[in-house]
Amino acid sequence: MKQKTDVPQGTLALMVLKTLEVLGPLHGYGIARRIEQISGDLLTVNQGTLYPVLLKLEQEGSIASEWGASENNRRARFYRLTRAGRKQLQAESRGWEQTAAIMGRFFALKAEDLP
Amino acid sequence: MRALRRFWNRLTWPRDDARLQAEIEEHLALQTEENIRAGLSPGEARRQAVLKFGGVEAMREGYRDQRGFPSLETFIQDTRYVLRRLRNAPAFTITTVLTLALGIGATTSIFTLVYAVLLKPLAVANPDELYRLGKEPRCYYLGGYTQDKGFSLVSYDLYKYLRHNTRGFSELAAFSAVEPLFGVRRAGQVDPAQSDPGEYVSGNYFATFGIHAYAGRTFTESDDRPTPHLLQR
Repeated sequence: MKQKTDVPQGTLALMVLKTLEVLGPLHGYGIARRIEQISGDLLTVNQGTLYPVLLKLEQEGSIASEWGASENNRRARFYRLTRAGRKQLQAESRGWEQTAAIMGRFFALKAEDLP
Repeated sequence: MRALRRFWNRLTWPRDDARLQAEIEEHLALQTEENIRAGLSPGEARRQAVLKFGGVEAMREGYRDQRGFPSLETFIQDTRYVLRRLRNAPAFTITTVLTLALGIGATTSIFTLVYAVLLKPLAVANPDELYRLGKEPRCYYLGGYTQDKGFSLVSYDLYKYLRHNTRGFSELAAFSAVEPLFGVRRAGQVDPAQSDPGEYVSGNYFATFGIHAYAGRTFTESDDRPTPHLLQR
């Protein structure tokens, strides 16, 4: 059985931004499903926790939202990435890649590799 | 700018609450439909959707924290808590309040005194241009404790000499070293006269300080003679 992990603080926002960049305007449910699919159900995240994050991102100006019609013609709030959000996403992904690379190198290191 | 937006958010909270409610409903409906497609009964599909969404109230709290003034709300809560605790410990509260009150009171009165004695400018035209001529700090002052330093007093003739030969000052006024008491009584009153301290001064005394009389006129240099004009009210 795969072990499920909590979402590290702050990464949910980054996932939201990336999802919106890849898929374009999306409602909350769509974002939640997408994050679940990508993470391969490794993350235990209550879908509800997404909404405070969406509000925070909107207040910071990274995303914008407006009412629209969902696939089955229901009224839904659609979120889209703003220009500021795109910039923020680029900066934060670079930071994450760097961190991941550094940690990867540490974990790959074996005792015999040391000079 | 952000504080302003938060303030605006605070005002429009009820509308946003409705928006959040609508979003939750929409979310649950979509999840329920998906669960039904996956083969669950409608009731069970809805139940699973709510379960997956998680605690609505907890989420709403998080939502509320993101908007509005969390710091202000925390501040109010903290204040209430402090007041409660203070009420439960009256001895401590009274000691603290008294200590603070005495401290503030003492500081205030000391500052008032220092301000009046040292800092407040004299009530004359140009207080920073005033100088007292003499060779000791207690010059032109007779009486009180003497210590072993002498008084630097000058005679009227020396004053006249200094006045005519000192170029550094625009005016040089003289006043007596002793402060004699004068019996003063308003004209026509029957009460005994009050004694008030007065001073013998040179005619240009008031001009030197730039002080004007409330009524009538002050002494002028023309009064510096053995038989001056009487001052009229």
